[in-house]
Amino acid sequence: MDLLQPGVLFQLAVGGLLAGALYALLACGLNLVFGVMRVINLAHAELMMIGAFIAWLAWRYAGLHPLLALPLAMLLLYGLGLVLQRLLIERIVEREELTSLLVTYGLSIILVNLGLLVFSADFRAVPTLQGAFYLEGLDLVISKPRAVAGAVSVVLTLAVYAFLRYSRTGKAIRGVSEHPEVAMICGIDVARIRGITFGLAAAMAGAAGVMLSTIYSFSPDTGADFILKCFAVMIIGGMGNFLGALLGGLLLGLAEALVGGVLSTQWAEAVAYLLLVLIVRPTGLLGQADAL
Amino acid sequence: MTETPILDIRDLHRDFGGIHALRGVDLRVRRGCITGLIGPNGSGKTTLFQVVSGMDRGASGEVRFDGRPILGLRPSRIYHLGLARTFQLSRVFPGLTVLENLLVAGRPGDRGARERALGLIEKVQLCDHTHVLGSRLSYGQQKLVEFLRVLMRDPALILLDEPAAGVNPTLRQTLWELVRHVNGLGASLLIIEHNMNVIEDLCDEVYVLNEGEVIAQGAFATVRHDPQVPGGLFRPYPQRHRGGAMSPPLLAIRGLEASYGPVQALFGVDLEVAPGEIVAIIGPNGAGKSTVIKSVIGLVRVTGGQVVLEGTDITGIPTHQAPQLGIGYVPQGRIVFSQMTVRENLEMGAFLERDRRLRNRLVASVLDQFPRLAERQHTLAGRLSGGEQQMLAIGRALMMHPRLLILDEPSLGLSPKYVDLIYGQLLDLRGRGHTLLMVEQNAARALELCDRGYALELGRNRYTDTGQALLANGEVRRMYLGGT
Amino acid sequence: MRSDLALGALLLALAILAPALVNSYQLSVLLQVLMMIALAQSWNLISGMTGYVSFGHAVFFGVGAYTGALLLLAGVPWWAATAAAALLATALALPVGLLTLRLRGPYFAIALLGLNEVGRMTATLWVGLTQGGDGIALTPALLPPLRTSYYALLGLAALATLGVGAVLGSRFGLELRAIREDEGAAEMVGVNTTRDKILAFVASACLPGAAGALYAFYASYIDPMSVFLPALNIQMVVMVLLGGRGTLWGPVLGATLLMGIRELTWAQFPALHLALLGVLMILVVLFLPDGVVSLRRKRPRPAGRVSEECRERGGAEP
Repeated sequence: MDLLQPGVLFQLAVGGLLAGALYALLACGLNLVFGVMRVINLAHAELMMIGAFIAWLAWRYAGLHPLLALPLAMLLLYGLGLVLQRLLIERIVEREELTSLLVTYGLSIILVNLGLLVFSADFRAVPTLQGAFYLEGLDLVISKPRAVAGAVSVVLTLAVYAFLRYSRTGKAIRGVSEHPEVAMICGIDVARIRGITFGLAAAMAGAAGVMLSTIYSFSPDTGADFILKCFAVMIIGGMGNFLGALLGGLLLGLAEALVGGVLSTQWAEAVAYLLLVLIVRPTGLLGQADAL
Repeated sequence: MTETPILDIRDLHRDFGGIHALRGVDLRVRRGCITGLIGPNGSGKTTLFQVVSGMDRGASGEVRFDGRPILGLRPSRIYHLGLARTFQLSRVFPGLTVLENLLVAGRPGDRGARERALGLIEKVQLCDHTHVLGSRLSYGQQKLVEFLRVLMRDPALILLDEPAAGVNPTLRQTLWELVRHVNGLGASLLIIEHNMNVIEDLCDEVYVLNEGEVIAQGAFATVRHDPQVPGGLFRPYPQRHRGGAMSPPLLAIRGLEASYGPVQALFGVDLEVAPGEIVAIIGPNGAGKSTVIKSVIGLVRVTGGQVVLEGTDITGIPTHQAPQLGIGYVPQGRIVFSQMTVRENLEMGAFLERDRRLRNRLVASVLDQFPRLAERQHTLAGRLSGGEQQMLAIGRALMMHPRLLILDEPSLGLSPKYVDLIYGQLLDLRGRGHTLLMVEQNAARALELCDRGYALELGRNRYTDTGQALLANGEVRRMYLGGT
Repeated sequence: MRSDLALGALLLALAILAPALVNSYQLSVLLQVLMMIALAQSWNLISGMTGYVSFGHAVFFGVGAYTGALLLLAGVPWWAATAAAALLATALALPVGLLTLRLRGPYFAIALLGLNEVGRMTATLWVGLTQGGDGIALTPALLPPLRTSYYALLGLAALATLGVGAVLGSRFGLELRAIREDEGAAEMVGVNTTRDKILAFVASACLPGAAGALYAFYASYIDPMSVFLPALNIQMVVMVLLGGRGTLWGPVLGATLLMGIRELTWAQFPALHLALLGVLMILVVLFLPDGVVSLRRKRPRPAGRVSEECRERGGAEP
C-alpha cells in the first residue's frame, strides 16, 4: 500500500483532525473543571456516555435527529452536573486532589454499571447521517457523520471559549480559577460558580456524547477509552489551559489517524496510552515534579 | 585563623519566571557561630533556605557545605551530610507520634536512636507527650518537636526558619536554650528571625537581605546603624502625625477568637476603627495581624467574639458578601488576575454591579485616582510592575466605594519608591474620607502613617495608642522596631 | 503486637483445616478470598502506606497470569512457573516505578490508570505469544489440584500479611508513613523518598504476579479481558480503603467483606456488584477515610509508664 502518498496522508489527516475536534470538546470540559476546582473528574467520560444514550433513546423512541437531541442532552447534563456538584463534588473541593480522584473513580464505576444494568453491554449507534462528502478540488472524501461531528465540536468549543473570555459569568469563572479568594472578595459566590462550571463541563461532555453516537457504535463502558485520551490531551496541552486542550485534542486525533493508517487501527488505539506514558518524563508533568 | 566557613554561598541566583527572588547572594556562616538572617518579608530569606536545603533545585551559583558543593543534591542527601533545616510553618508529621517523628529522622540501623530520641524529648520536658500524635500537640510544641527532629543526627549546620514564630513565651525560652546548648556542642546555626532582641542576644553575625540581595552584614551593632538597611527593620522615622478625633466606631472587634483548623491563632482581640481614620496593626510574624483582618471578612474561621460594622453584627459572614456590606479588601501579595487587563481587573471589583454604564463610571473614577493605571488600562495585569499591581489591587477594592478599606501588608515586596507612592495614595484616600485598616510588617512606616495603632503579640493585644505615641514608646520601639 | 500474632495464628490454623471441613464450592470461594487478601495487602503496601494510589495494579496480575500459563505449557512445573511469574512482575514494576514515581500523587494515579490497558492491549495484539483474544487454555493434566492451589494461595496471603506486618514495624514502614504524611518534610529529615517509593512499588508487584499465575492454574483458561481485569483494580482499591489502608488487618477485613458482598450480588448481577462497590468507595472516602478498622478505638497509653521510661535514663545528654 502506498501509504505515504500525500493524498492518502492528507485524507487521513483531515479525518484525524475531525476526530480530534471531538476529543478537544471532551477534554476542554474536563480541563475546565480542573482549572476551576482542582478536581480531576474520572467520571467525565461517563457523562459523555449519558449524552450518547440520550441521543440513542431520543432517536429510537421519538425519532429525533441527533442534532435536535443535542440541545436536549446538553440541558439534561447541565442539570445533572449541577446536582452532582452540589451532592458530591462540593464536599471534596477543599480536600486533596487524590480524594477527588477516588470519589470520581467511584462515581464512574457507578455510572458505567448502572448503564450496563439498564442497557446491557450491547453495542448501539445512531446511524442517521449516512454517506460522505466528496470535495473534488482537494480530492477528499469525508464521511458525513464525522464532518458534522467535527464541525459541531469545533463550534461548541469555540463558543465556550468566547463565553469564558467575554461574558460576565465567564470572567467570574476565570477569576475563580485563578484566585478564588480574590474572586470572593469581589463579591463572587464561588460555590455557585463551581456549580455552573461543572454543569457546563457536563453539558460539553453530553454534546460530545451525542456526536459520538453518530460516528461510533458504543456501549456503556466505551467511556474508559476516552477518559485516557482526555488525560493525554490535557497533558499535551497543559493542565488547566483551555486552548491547550483544544490543540491537544486535534493533535491526538491527528496522531491516531496517521498511526492507524500507517500501522493498523489497533495500534491507533494504543497511541493515547503510549503518549500518556511517554510524556510521563522523569522531569515530571508540570516541570518541577521533584520540587518539594 | 582562616578556617573554611561551614556554609559558603556565592553569587546565588534564583529566578521564578521574571521574579528575581535571589540576585547574587553572597553569604558565609562561620564554623561554630550563630548567624542571623534578617530582612523584610519577601526579601528571599525562605527562598534561600529552600535552595540551600535542596528543596528548590532551580538556582544557579555556588553553595558549599564544609567545602563540598551541594547545589543540586536532593534534600535527603544534604541532610545525610549534616545540614538540617526547619520550616517556617511547622511540618511535624501529624499522624506520627512525637517519638516516631524523631525516630524517622534518625540514622537507619542506629541502635541508640531510641535512646537518643527519648533523651531529647526529656530535655524539653515533653516526656508526657512521647506517644502523642503530632496533630494533637500545641503549635509551639510542634515547632519544638520539629527542632528536636533535626537534632537526631547531630547536624553540623542547622537552618532555622523563624523557629519561635507562633510559640508561647515559655516554650520560646526552652527553644532558645536548646539553640545555645546545641551551639555549645559545636553546631553552627543560621537563623531567620524578626525579633531583633533575639538576633542581638544570640547572633555572632548578621546578614541583611533585601529584595534578593545582601545589603549589609556584620555584627548586630554595626548592621543596625547601616544607612542602607530599610528603616522599618530597626529605626523609626522621626515624624509628626496628627491623629483623628474619636467618633463612634465604624468597625468594632471584641474578644475575637479565630483558628486555622485545630490551631488557635487569636485569643480575644479587641480593636476599633473610627470613620475617617487610618488604623494600623503591627506585630511580629505569628502575632495574628493578618488573621484579624481575614476574620473580619470570613476568610478565617471565627470561633469566638464579635465583629460589628456600623452597629451590625457581621461576625462570620461569607466572604463574598463583603462588598455588599461596604468592605473593600486588598489581600497580601499584590494579587491580580494576571490574564485579564487592568480594566477587566477593575471591573471584577465591581462584579456585583450589573449595569454596564454604572460600572464604566466606577472604572473611570478609579482610573482617575490612579493615572498610572489609566495609561495602562488595556495591558494584561500580569505584565505590570509590582507597584502597579498593588495599585491595581487597591483600585479594585475601591470600585464599590467601600466604607472600610482593609489592606494586608500593602508595602510588602515593593521598592522604597513604590512604598512611598502607595503610602501617598493611602494618605490621599484618607483625605477623601475613606477609612483604612491596615496590617503592616513595616511597623515604623505604618505607625508613622496611621492615626492609631494596635500592636499584637501571639494573638493578643499588647499595645494601643496613637501612631505617634507608639513610635515614642520605648517598649514598643524595643520590641517591634529594634530601637532603644 | 502479641495479639496480632495470636489472631494470625488462629486464622492460619482455621485456614489450614478448612479443606477438610468444607465442600468444593466453598473451598473455591475461600481460595478467592485468600487471593484477594494477597492482592489487597500488596496494594496496601504501596498505596495504603505511601498514599500513592495505583489505579492500574491489575497489570501485574495479568502479566503473572500469562507468564504462569505460558511457562506451564512449556513444561515448567507449576510452582516454578509461579515463582517466575512473580519475578517477571517485579521486573516490570521497576522501570514503571522509576518512570512514574517521580510524579506527585494524583499524576501517578492517572499514569497508572492507563497501564492496565496497555497490558491488556499487548496481550491482545501480541498474538504470536499470547494467542491474542482467543486466550490460552491449559491442559488439566498440567494443573495442580484445587487443594494445592488453595494451599499455595494461603501461603501467598500469609506471606503478604506477614510482609506488611514486618514493614509496619520497621524503619522502612515508618519512612513510608512519613512520606504519606508530608513527603517534603520526610525528604528533609533524610528519607530518600524516591528510593523508598520505588522499593514499595516493586515489592507490591511481586505477589500479584504470583497470584495471577495461580489464578490461571485455578481457572484453567485465561484471556486478556479476564486477567487484565478493570474490575480487579476497583476491587483492590475498595478492599483496602474499606478495611483500612496502611493497617495490618484492614486489607484482610476488606477482602473478606468484599467477597461477602460479591457472593451476594455477583451471581445475579455483576454490574450491580460493581456499582455497589462504587457507592461504597464514595461513602468510605467521604465518611470513613481510615476504614472499618478505625472504628475500633485505640486505648490511650497510661501516661505514667511513659514518663517513667523517660526518667529512667536520667536525662542523658543527646
